[in-house]
Amino acid sequence: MTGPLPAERRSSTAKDLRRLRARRLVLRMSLGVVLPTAIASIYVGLVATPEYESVSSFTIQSADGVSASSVELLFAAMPGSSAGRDVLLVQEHVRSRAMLQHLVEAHGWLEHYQDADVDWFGRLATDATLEERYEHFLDKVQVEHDTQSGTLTLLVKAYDGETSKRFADAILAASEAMVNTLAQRAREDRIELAQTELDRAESRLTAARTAVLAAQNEGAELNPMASAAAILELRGELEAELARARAELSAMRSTYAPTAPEVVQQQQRVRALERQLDAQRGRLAGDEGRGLSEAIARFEPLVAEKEFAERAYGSALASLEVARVEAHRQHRYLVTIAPPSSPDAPTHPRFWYAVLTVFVASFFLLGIGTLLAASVREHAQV
Amino acid sequence: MSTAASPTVASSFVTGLATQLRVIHAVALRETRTRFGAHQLGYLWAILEPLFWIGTFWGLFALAGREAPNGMPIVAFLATGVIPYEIAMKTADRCANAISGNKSLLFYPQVKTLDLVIARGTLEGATYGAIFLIILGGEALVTQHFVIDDVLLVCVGLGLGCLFGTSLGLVLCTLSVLSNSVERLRGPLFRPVFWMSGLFFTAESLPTNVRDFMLWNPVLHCVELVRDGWFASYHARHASIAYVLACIVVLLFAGLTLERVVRAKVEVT
Repeated sequence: MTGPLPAERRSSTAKDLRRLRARRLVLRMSLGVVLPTAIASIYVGLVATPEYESVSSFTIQSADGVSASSVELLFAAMPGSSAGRDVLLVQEHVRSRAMLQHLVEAHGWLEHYQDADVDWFGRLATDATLEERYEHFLDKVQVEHDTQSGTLTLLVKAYDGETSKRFADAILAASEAMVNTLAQRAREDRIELAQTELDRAESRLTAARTAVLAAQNEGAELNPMASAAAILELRGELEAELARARAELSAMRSTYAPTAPEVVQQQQRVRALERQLDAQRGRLAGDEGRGLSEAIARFEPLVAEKEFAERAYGSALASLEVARVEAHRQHRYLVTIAPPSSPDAPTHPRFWYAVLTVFVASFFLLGIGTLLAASVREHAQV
Repeated sequence: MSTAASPTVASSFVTGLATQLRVIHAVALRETRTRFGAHQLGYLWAILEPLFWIGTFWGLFALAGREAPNGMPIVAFLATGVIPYEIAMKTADRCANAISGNKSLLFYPQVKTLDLVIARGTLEGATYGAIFLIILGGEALVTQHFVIDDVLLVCVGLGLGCLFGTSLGLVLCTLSVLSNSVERLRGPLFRPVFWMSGLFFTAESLPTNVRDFMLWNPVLHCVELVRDGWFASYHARHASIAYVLACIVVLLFAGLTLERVVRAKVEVT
């Protein structure tokens, strides 16, 4: 070939350069963008085992009905309302290792996710450690807390619709059991406390009553206080009678002779009254500690104790009643708002979403890499 | 990139990298002089500003009788909110001014617009990283309690914050070359971020609908990550490293592309 014109050569080298650049760009794009996207679409579209997601929602209801007032909504996350706190407890429980353990032991969790039909990336390794299993568990079971309505939404992913529903059912049942145990224990504690209090009051009352009865048996006096009151009344009457008799006697002495039969009779009456009074006084004070005042001194504390015991018993009985009502009012139970759905079509992975994400991400990353490398190389051209 | 195939490409990359690092180093050193040059206290201002915010919020919390959530000590709680916020937004703010503040440096052929942004981002990141250590170290000296739950997570949170700030700053800085109004809009756009980044609350303590909205803010994610790493008692259930990374990738891509577009305009003026 003859030597081409310089202008032609320049244009051909420019064309070569442009072609070289274009080829480089194509290579870069195909390696950095097309390849990852292709791999992603092959994996997501053909290899990945489709996952079914079962959705259910539930809440914890207390018998007093107020789960969250409008004021509490402002501070919804403050663990003030106990119903709100219960929801958080259940959320923690669903996400706990104990729940995973329960699913593994009773519902064949491992068998399902380690199944050989599941694709290699998605499958849970058979020799997975507890921590890896737990990570995997958190990936498959999600529980979202809506602080405004106080509901929990449970999402369970599994490789077929039946199983996802079965796992969701199992989780709901376990959560319900936990809520019930919690409520049960709180209730039992409260009533048990009131019951022991009542039992103590009861035995105290019985003891006081027995003591009073024993004292009555011993003293053969049913109610010394009443007897004493009767004696006192009798004494009062006798004293009044005596005073009147003495007055009459002194009046008679001024009119009759001292030996007159009226005077003698009156004197005998006065003496009889004085004797009677002494006898009554003796009954009250008694000699060598057998009198009524002794009996009263022995009775008084017993009667007081009996009265106190009666009062304590009454209040214990009332507080047991209150505890019963309160416990009933504070009873909590799990309410299923929407039972676990049984999905009839796989929802994960979403093909277009995943492929588009990989495409955009790889494109951006390649762009950043290229631009940064170019900006570095610029510095060498100076 | 097939660097192994052509040794010239590889060597140009290495020499370019060496030059660029030298340029960034020099610009960053120069920035330390100019940043607070006009003020008497100089560099001390960098630490006084976060301290001022911490003090203000501390006072407000004390007046309102509020406690930091999840049993976090109040000063540490505020510091882990304010400093990650500053590391992101102050960096964005400084990087957005990188070109307009250093236009004269572009006279030197070795200095490219990107270097100015990277230098400022690096400097701000290092400054606020040091401030973070100083303030929380001081707090630890006073309270005699110093336990970091997860050092790596704290570094990730701060690093992501700084990267996010730099990428956002790069985008704003290139856009401001195209239009003056960007600079005017920056203040009003940045201000809500201050109230939405969890400086004085945690994502956990928000009602669901508010939280769903707030979590669009990557700075809140950074704050949450730092707090998760710093306090053993706090777990940032809603923070996502992937989300912040995605934001950074998008912003960085946009920023680097825009930088190519506007570079001619910068050099002309």
